[in-house]
Amino acid sequence: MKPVPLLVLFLGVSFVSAAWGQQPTGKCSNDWSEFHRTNMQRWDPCEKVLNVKNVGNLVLKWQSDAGGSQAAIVNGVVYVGSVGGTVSALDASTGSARWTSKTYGSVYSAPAVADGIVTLAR
Amino acid sequence: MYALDAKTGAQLWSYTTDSSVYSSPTVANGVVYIGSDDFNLYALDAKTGAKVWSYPVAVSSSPAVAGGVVYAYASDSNLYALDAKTGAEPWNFNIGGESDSSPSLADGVVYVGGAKVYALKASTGALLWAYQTAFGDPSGSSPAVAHGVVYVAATVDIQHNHQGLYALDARTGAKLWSNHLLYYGDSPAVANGVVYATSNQRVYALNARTGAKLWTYKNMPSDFLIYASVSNGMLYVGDGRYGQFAFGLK
Repeated sequence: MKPVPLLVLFLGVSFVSAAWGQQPTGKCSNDWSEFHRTNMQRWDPCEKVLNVKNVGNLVLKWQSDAGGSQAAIVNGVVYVGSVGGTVSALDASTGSARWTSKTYGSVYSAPAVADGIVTLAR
Repeated sequence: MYALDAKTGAQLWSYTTDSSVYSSPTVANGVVYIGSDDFNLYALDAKTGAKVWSYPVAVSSSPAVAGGVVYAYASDSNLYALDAKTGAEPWNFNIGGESDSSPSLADGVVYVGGAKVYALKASTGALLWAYQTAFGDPSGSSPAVAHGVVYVAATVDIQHNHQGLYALDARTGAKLWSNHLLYYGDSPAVANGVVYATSNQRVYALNARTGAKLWTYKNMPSDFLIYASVSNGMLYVGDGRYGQFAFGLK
């Protein structure tokens, strides 16, 4: 078997320790939970999948008439409001609705999701 | 205002304002901040819906909250900075005209679109810089801020169809790049070196550093209130009339 060069081993260890080093902060959340995101910047600093090189390969995965407000995404659930007067929780990967509630009025703006509570305006 | 259980959708509370609410709520430290056309900015307890305070200005954009201060643009052309706990008014700044821009915050600086793009010191309201866009004004756009760059769209100029997205140096306000894609006062979103913007039934992904177009989706059914969010490899675009569109990699 070919011996593993020491440099590669060293790099491997430093990558692992860098990754571990990031874990205690544990704050890089991929959620976009309200209009601005919680950093108030409309910037997701934790996105790792989409990048400059692969974003050209985006395709429409699903479409839902459940709601056309800006989406709030938390833990794989997409919260949307509709002009028809509903708010819905959709599965992020399939778009299928987990629940839909009436709001008795059109929802134009993004819901905000925090501490297990969805707040929205109509 | 409604509050629902995120798991079940059961209504927890509602709070009735005297007029429609077009702004998105912002939640910080258990308090919901929301503007209303009834000439009040409200702070409500997120668990109970009880009013914590209100401040008598009409706000139709989404407040930003950081460091115990709420920043909200009001229809009297002022950006207000209010104590998040009490609603007391530390400062306000006139941004020279009506705006739907929701202020953004990064590194102690507030960015907001009005007659110009303004950068204000968050603690005092002191003007750091102002940038005049070439076509129209940026009053409909809520800036996005990432890696020291402010991304903002100028509002529509129907006669000339000259609108664009601008990338400005967050520290100096110097223009880094701009393009002339069609935008309707759009509020861009940024993630991992890509700016997402929507306009004229289209969705764009642009290189955040250069402004180069990386991807275009041309088939949004309408141009009514479309906004993008990004999370975990998916791009979500809401179309006010036709629902939610979710994009992912092939």
